Amino acid sequence: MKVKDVLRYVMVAIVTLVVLFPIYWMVITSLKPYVEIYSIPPVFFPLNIENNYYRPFVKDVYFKYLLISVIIALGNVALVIPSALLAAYGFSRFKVRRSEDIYFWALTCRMAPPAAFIVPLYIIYTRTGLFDTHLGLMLLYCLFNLPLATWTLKGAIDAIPKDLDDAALVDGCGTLSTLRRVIIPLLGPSLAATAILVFVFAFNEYLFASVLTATNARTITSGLSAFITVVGIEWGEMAAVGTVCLIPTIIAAVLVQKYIVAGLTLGAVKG
Amino acid sequence: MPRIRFRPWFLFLPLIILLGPTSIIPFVYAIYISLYRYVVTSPMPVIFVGINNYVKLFYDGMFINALWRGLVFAISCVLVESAIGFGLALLLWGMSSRLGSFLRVMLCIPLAAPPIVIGTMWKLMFNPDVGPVPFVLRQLGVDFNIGTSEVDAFLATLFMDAWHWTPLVTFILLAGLLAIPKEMLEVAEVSGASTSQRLRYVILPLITQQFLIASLIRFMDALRIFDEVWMLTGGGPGISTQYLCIYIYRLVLTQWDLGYGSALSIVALYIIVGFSMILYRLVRGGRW
Repeated sequence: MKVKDVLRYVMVAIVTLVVLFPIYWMVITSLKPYVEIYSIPPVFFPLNIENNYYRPFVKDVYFKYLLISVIIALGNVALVIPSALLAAYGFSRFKVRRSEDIYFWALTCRMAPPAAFIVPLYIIYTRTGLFDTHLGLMLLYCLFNLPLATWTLKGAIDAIPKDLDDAALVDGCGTLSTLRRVIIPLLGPSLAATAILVFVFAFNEYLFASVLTATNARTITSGLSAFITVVGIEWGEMAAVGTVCLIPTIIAAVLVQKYIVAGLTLGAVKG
Repeated sequence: MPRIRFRPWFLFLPLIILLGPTSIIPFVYAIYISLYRYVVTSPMPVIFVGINNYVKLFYDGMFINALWRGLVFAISCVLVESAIGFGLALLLWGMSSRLGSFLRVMLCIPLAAPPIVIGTMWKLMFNPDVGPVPFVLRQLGVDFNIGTSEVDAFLATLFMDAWHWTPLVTFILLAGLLAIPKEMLEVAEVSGASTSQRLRYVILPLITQQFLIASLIRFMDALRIFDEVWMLTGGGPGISTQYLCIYIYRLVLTQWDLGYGSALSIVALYIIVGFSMILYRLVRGGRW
């Protein structure tokens, strides 16, 4: 038994190292002066700290990009969560004709390659004036976040006994007031977790943001690739912006770890 | 008690209003554009060409290349991630609660990280000039350069994808493992089955469905991979890591051939829809 336990700790240590080392490397690169980034052998424990965060966030526009990312992600949460809550309640409590087809449609939306949408979306967005607007991206991110939120919430509502609904009905509640007075208070943590997940996936999105925005609604993820320039790569600053993008998502991951898997598999697997 | 019967259609209205236009309008519009020769940068007029853009696909070596490399990449991802994921799931399955929850937190980090940042991180790791991986390998006498070697670039994308998505496979398989009734394992143990026999004859047959779901989700997500690979290699060296979506992106945003790009998008979409039908059957077949 003892050998088995030791082996287990070794395995966990290896996994931890593999997961954390690239993150550690990016964080220390963001703190290294130019010379140390290129030094051979590489510097694993930097002593001369340089603030690579200053130029992109204070002098350049990356702070603005960060704000835009947060605004768009919050806007998307505000669109997605109420709609998903209504639909999830409907799927969970009522027999809906063609609900199977709606699920399949949502699954396809979740799995569809974003690159397949860029041509039509580019043309539609430039012609309707949605190009380079916050609203444009908030609406578009519903494409993958709405299925995710609907089926995560459906799983949570399924776990609430239907008797409670019936009791509310007897007491004279309608569908909406049952949802508001019975279901939502009981959902509590799952609702918050779903909102956080939706925020994270909206914040993480890159491809649509890079094609459909220019300056006004540029998000921080789509700004990351700008560090690869013709004359070379700004490693330190790229690492700095990457670190800032990564930190909120890591915090979110720890908070909502139970819900990530259910979200990513559209409820097919409960985490 | 008489129940009021009504169709709660209004509950689905917001879903349909938000999801409908963002999915169906672009799709229909893409079909429409794909029937035209529409090159933004070309002085030639936009003309109706029927299915010519689709016929062109069969003669497009770059498309065949992208599809082929994408498939090889996706299948490699599924194999590697299933193997490691299964090992990790078994590890988590029989683990004490505190160490187990620590490992779970570790495994959740890659799942929530922005893909473009994952690409950035591995670019820092693998870059021949500044990365620690080529440095360590050079000390061991191995030359690893993702800027010049096609094989190295492929391996780098595979490793990066495994870092990102193996946890998902692990969690899906773990859900299957946790659903196995304890009695079945006890019976097998009492009957004198060895560990490997229990694995082969009891555990594996019971989590086949989870394996299939995990493999399909990974296969489809790997086929449509863009952000990480775009950041890490940009499709290079040459066209060696130019997987399907990277090809579409390059075609559209460098050559501005929107008609042909649309045809390509529609084909890519149908490939994905085909696979999601299989996934759907699988998900619906089991407990849900």
